[in-house]
Amino acid sequence: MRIRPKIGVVSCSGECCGLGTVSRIATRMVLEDLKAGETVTICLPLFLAGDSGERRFAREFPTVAVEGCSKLCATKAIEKYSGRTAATMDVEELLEGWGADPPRSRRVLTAEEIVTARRVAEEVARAVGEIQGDLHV
Amino acid sequence: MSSEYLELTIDKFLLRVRRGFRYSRDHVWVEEGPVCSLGLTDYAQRRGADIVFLEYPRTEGQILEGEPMALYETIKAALEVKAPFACEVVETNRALEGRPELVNEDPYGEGWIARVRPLDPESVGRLLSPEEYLELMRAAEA
Amino acid sequence: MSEDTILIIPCSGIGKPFGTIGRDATFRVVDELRRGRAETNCLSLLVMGDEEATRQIRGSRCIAVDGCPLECARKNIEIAGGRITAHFRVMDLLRENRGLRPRQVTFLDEDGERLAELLAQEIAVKVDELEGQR
Repeated sequence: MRIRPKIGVVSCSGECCGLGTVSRIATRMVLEDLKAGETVTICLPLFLAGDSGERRFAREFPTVAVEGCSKLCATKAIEKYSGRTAATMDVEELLEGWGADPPRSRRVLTAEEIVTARRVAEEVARAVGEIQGDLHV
Repeated sequence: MSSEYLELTIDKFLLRVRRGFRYSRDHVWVEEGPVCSLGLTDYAQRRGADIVFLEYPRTEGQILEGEPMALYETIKAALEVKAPFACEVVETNRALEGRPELVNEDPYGEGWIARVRPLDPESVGRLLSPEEYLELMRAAEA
Repeated sequence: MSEDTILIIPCSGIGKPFGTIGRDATFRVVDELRRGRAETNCLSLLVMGDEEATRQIRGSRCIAVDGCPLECARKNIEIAGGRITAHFRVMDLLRENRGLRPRQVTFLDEDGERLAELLAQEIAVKVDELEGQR
């Protein structure tokens, strides 16, 4: 029997820099397209404000944190209130590995930066797929 | 499981069905009495999203079963709260004029939509029980 | 960080267009309309107790920008010990602009952009007011 629960994807809130915007957009791309119907977003501000639904979901189901930088806010929040994340993606590290520059604006991404966000989304989707594979019963 | 509600978890959402109420297939709850309070279920408010506007096409007089008791708008759509049975409107919830989000925040309490007198007192008993409504929700999400 | 600092914190809710609109409006104010006169920072850094962020919030006058009545920005600023001197909700602005129907979350559609512009203008005016109260 194959068990495929939905996987929670939580982006950092990332107001401080463009990498946070990339994290957010990549998370939405996973939710809307790459793993539509298989993922759920955990809204980090709601989670931090104490919403029991968000915290309960993160306790009961696997989560992937998508972090703009090494401060790892989303991962730390999930671990503090719900439990370990199943995976963490560090967007800053990914971009450095690809030789891609961080976005110049935190409000609007260029077409090239959107392509980079899509690459991040594909990495997140890959991580989601691995978690789903691990859950195969 | 709460003593006051039946509960169904879908993804991260805990949907509640108030015990002791009756329910229409159009997702309206009814608190039985000579004058019945009614409103949108937790499931309906969750699916519809945040209510930005809510209006009453009529605040008095008779309404037939299935006719709109209230019209509400979210960013997704313009929707209707349909009369679960033929009734006479006794009172509408004035608090919703300035704060329609009460329907989202407290659908079974402060977010009540109208108080009505059924034209046929037995019509309330013909509505769904909480358990039947829970099954209707479960089937819709399957 | 002096008490003169005006810190604008959006909820950045990721599930609804309102969160994106509030975030976009905040960036318009701090990066364009009132550049150098107001700042923003990550809500999660503030709540998770980052030292620098905590110093910043305790020394600033905060403007909370919430998307919806859940008011996560306001609640989280209070949890972090911040002082809220103004509060905006995107949904309230939507009620004043009934013709607008923002639907997209990831990238704002035309109505979302318009609402973000209007909100940014209102926040910018509030920044001017708060500066005048120094």
